[in-house]
Amino acid sequence: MDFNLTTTDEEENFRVKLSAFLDRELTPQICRQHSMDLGLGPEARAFALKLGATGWLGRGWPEKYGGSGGSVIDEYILVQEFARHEAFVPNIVARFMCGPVILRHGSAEMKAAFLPRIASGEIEFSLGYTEPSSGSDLASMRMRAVDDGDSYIMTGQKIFNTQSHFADYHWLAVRTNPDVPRHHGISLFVVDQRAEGITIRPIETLGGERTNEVFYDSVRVPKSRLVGGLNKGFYYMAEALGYERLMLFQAIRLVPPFKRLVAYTKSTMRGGRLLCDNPDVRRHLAQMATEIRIAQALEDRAFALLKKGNPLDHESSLLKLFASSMRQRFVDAALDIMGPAGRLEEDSEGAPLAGEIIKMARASVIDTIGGGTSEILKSLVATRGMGLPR
Amino acid sequence: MDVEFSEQQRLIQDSARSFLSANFTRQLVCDARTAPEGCSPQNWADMSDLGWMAIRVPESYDGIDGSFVDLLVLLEEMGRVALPGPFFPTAVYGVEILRECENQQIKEDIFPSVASGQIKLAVALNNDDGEFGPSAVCFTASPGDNGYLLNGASHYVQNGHNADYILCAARMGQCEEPEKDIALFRVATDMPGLCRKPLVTVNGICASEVVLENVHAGSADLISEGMTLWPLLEQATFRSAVAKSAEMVGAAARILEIAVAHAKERHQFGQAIGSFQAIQHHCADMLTDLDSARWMMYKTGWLIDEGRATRQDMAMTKIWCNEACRRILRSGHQVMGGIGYCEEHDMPMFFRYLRLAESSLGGTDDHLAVVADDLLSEEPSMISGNKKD
Ligand SMILES: Cc1cc2nc3c(=O)[nH]c(=O)nc-3n(C[C@H](O)[C@H](O)[C@H](O)COP(=O)(O)OP(=O)(O)OC[C@H]3O[C@@H](n4cnc5c(N)ncnc54)[C@H](O)[C@@H]3O)c2cc1C
Repeated sequence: MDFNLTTTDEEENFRVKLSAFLDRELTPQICRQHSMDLGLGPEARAFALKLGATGWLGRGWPEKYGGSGGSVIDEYILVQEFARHEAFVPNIVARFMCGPVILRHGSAEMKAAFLPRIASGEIEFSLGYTEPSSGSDLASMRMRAVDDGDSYIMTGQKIFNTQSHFADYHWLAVRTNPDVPRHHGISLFVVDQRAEGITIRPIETLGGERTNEVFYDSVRVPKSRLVGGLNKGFYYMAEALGYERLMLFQAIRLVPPFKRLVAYTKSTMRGGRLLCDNPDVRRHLAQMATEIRIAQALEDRAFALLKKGNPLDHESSLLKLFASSMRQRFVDAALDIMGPAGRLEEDSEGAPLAGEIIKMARASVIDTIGGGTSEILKSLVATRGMGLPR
Repeated sequence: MDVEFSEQQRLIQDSARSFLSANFTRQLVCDARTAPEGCSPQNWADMSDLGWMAIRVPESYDGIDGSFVDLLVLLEEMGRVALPGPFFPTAVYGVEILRECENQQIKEDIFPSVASGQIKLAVALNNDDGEFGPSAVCFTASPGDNGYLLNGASHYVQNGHNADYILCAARMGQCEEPEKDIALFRVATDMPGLCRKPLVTVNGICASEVVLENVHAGSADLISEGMTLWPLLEQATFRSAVAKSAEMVGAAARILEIAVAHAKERHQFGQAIGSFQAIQHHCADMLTDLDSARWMMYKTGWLIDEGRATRQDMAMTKIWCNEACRRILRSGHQVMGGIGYCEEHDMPMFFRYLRLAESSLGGTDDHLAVVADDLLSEEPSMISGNKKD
């Protein structure tokens, strides 16, 4: 058994250099622009290109497509180092959700057209799966693509397409054949997000991030933008969702806020003693630290499997289940520790920890819903993971 | 205990439900969140016309002198619309404290104008950050010209920014034992030396920091002092925690209604999501939590009216409401899926409301500590309930 994922000198060297780069280049402003709420601002775009220029964004991809060699462990390092710095990998949807599917299933033309620009940090994608009446049940989606010679004409509505207001491309799932069983009539396309006929309407969320409704009115999309085989979109979507579940959470992301919380308990008095001397508080803190460590063990194990070349199946669902509910327990405990002061928002006078805990509490509501609800994921773990009857 | 609502309580429930649902839309509640007054003058006037501010004010002071359970019935309705604003600190916490005090003059000054909706109150005993007790009183009083000079800061006063008067507890500095050294003052918020900074909570601007710098209080502003004061303040505070629980139960009841309606309407995989066991179990868990929280809350209210509620009863009520409502909120969000995360939906409004309420008048850990203390002490503190004027 070996939990030491960064085994080679080369990999360790990569981690050290990347970490130094992030220490130097990341600013709070860039981190904010990369978290999903605001979308890419000019500073974040510039940062993405700078990172792209180092070749590190393409680690794990073949050189032929703008990558710089390396393995899945380099991808792991990339994601973990960003999380440790409380930032998100720029253009994360393109790099970790759509890109891998293009790499595996895209035509040579599509790979050449998109992968190098993803690796260079130039472009971002937005996931276009969900429709108002198709959430968990994606196979029921209705948005149509009608064959029209060398292109398709697309009409319909998507909802909760989070990056659409700033992304360059829409990773769009549509029905290309209405006459076959549901799963067999869906295809994936890469559409210019700014194409004529697309209207984007913002949706405000509890967590403060923006997401969108996206309307298509007879949008023409060339057939060259079809991803992989016609009517195979549902399976590619499932694959991309697997990557998404793996990449959505990193336990290490909770470590810096946890450390700040610990410092807060060491400097805040209540009831005539420091919070950290209160047995309830100590117990909460110990539990939180334990759970973060458990999530890290699960993550390491998932990547160890990938490193050996085993594709993940229910493991990524299990990991997402654990990590998402862990973050919710984390905020519950943190709010219990902090009391009313913990409910003060960032823009308030006297908000401890700059309101980060209450913000996380609002944002973590979606953790057990987006990217597959916990109910759906539990069924996946039960059926695919343990062979229980459907 | 009659487990049915009385005629009077049913009336309160019906009129409150129709008035509140007609007047407090989500949009209005959300707008009120960012407006410091929390509740429009018109709404406030309408509510006082309905007699709500007077519900616990004794009859001899132009009040209705309703029972504590009557109040809980009204508060549950208010929770159903996540009612913002100064009602609670004024007509619940403020009034419960004044009911306890013997000072007739103060009652004559304040009660009738509370009952008629003319003035609003806030209460500043401790910092309301979970630290509750005579040793955590945040102000000091020292003798000054014709009265006292008040100093100190309370970091978190519900409705502090809206109040005409703040009921402030202060240490007199005459006795080592905190419990015996406390006085309660009425402080008008337009006094020189009083400074308020509004705070932005997860549920909007509904509290403020209050700083007193040599604020003058006349001897007429001294509401009460002495050995018996702290137990009375504690009594009113624990009763208010039960009242807060009623608001939470109302919000949780609405969440369950919304979730169940959604589970029946929303179809995925060719069937109503409510036909999936995962969803049914969420709903059944929510109802179990809701019923247990609600009937514990009413039972405690009834004990208060009977004069038999212990501190433990009241603390346990808040503990269970905090825990149950937190789970109901989570399950509600799960059943709603993505749509419940959009600010255009009612769920975020209830999220904000409950996340604040669970920390008000004692968080779960604070009340657990109280229960443990009382459980393990030789003589459990029997606070008597409703004190008749
Ligand atoms: C902020 C946000 C960002 C998002 N970003 C994107 C994005 O970028 N791109 C995109 O395409 N989508 C996105 N989504 C959509 C997200 O993936 C869906 O919300 C999610 O898949 C759930 O679908 P739904 O909201 O329609 O809920 P529903 O599917 O209606 O589910 C409602 C409830 O029913 C349960 N349920 C449904 N079916 C079953 C079953 N068979 N068994 C048991 N329980 C069941 C669910 O678990 C849930 O509890 C986003 C959503 C949000 C809120």
